[in-house]
Amino acid sequence: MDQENAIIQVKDLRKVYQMGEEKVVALNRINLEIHAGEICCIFGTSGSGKSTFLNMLAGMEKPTYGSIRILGREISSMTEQELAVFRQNYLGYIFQSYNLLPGSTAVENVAIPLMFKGISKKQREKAARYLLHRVGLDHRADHYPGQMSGGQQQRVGIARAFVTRPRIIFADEPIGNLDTKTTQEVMEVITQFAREFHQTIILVSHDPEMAEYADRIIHMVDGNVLEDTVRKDTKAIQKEKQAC
Amino acid sequence: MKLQDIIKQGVKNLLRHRGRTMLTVLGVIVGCCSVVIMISIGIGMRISSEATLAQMGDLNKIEVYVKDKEIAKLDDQAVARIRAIEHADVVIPKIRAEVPARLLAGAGNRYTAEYITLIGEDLDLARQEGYELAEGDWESLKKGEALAGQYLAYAFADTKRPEGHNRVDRYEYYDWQTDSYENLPDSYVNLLTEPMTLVIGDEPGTQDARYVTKSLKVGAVMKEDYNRGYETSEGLLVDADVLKALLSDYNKLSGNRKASETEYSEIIVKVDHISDVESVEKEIRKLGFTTFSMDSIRKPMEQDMQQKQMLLGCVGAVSLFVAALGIANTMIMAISERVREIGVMKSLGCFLRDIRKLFLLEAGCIGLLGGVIGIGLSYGISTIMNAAGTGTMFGNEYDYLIDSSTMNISVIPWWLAVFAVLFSILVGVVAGLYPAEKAVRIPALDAIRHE
Ligand SMILES: Nc1ncnc2c1ncn2[C@@H]1O[C@H](COP(=O)(O)OP(=O)(O)OP(=O)(O)O)[C@@H](O)[C@H]1O
Ligand SMILES: [Mg+2]
Repeated sequence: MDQENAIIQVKDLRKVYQMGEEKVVALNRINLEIHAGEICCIFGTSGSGKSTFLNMLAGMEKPTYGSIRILGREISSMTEQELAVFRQNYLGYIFQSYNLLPGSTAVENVAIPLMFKGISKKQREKAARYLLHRVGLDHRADHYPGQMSGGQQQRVGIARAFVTRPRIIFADEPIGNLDTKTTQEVMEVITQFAREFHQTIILVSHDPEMAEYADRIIHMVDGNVLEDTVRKDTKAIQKEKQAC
Repeated sequence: MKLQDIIKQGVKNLLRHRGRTMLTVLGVIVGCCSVVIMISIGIGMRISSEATLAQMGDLNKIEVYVKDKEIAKLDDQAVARIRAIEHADVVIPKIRAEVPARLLAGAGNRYTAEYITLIGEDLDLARQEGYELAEGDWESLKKGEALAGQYLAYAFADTKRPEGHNRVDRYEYYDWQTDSYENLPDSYVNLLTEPMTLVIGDEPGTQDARYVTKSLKVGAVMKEDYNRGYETSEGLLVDADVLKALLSDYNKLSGNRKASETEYSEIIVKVDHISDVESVEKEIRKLGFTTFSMDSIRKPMEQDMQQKQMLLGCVGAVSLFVAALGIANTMIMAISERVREIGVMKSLGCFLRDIRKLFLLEAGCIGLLGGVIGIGLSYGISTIMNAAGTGTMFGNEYDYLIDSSTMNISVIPWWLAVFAVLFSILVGVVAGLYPAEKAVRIPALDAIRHE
């Protein structure tokens, strides 16, 4: 795969946390490229630096050293204002603990990123209802997060991440709190959307089962990329093939 | 974010924590109320004192008297000089007859009024000075006609009747409670229709009597006004030139050269605006005259008011300040509760300025709500205070001047209500500044870290 096609370019990325006297090297030296349309799974043991890496890609933390270019733009040197615009236009985020706003209904929650963009209530709720329909929650559209199960809440969270049709979606352990069956449902929704809208997904997991949905697995150990494998027979691809 | 969305979001947040919001609003209500009530008492005091002063006399009037004849005389030259002073809009020279004056009326001069107050003054100026008419009108007044006091007719005695039964005593019919006359019988003479003779000097018919006379017609009757002088009760106002000529004749007759004909007893100066009274008075004093105006009472009274108002305002301001602290505290608490929410908003691409606006709006709404309820409550408290209050609350030497039965203790004008609401909003927004900045600084990462 050539460089032109790379949507994310990470070069010599290093993150060191200073804890008083002690230095914690969370990321040692990472070099990799992620291509448009890839579903990447960052896999590794606890403390291997997965979350740190993902947060840095999402622009929530600044690297100690090295550069991250997303869509050709250096993300670590953006101002808060630029980051906000960039997030509105290109990035989506799925949280492990859903993080829905408790005072807003499912539709309102899904529509939030569009509200931040200044889109009218009518338009954004139309888009939100469509996505809720796609994640199978039409009947829950006007319910509050407190009235929904974990799996349902996470599906609302996914709808919210996709509502702006972002180019890249980040997800840190999106199925961490869910049982196996729900995990399957959620992962299928994510991968299905990604294929449909040709989106890039980067998700973090320590669950090997997740790897089945990914077409690229980045295995991290102690802040380094140990293994970087591209798979050809993911569940999603198998399904696609069946459909043909 | 659209403004309407920010508003909706802010209101939603406030409603979600109704209990906490209401407690904070309560603080603002108390603060707003105390400021408004304090200021309204100040305004009430000012209105009362001004009304009282106005009752006591004309606030834009300066009376000018001679201080020392050697230095400055109240003559035509003085009148011209005073007229030249800026803001001295109407200058009215007056002559007060020091010589006994009497009026004769009826067939064979049967009726006489003795020792009447006689004033000489330009009648056009008299109108500007503020004399009011009970009968007749200014337009139909002819040159040379006199103005009579309201009860001058009752000053006449019937010379054909024995002493003690020769007058209609109007005080017999006066009711102090209602401040009016009841069933007052007609007087012996009708001032407006009967011709009269004015006599200046000794009583005619007595030995060596020296006097001058002038036949006179009364053109109108003045309304009695205690603040203006006794001429409005049982006196006579004649044209200055007429009186000058009469006095001059009398002086010649009695060989008295001392009283020059061109000298006035006093000069009244009317100033357009109360605020100019002080400066005009100063200028007149420079010319060497003594002056009197309500300014000498008004000024210390006003200073006294201002001090009290300041004090009242401070008390109110302190409680509003406490309310502001309450808002700030609530907002800071709200933020530590909402760290995660703010983090989520940021990671979903919310602009910092929108987060700031949201928090300021919430704080402003608390202020607005508190202000609106506070002003409503203030109107209620004010009404109760006015209904229950007696006037002794000022506790100063002007108390006796204030007619407590008609005056309101607390007055809330519309501008105070508007100001109070706007100020409450401002207090809310200012109190929200620090918390809003704090919220803006919360990193997006905190949304994930809180897991
Ligand atoms: N804010 C921080 N301050 C100091 N050290 C940190 C901080 N964040 C992470 N670390 C350290 O960096 C290393 C990597 O942490 P990270 O959270 O990226 O691990 P992870 O792979 O996501 O683990 P898990 O699977 O448990 O979530 C850990 O050793 C952690 O202690
Ligand atoms: Mg992690």
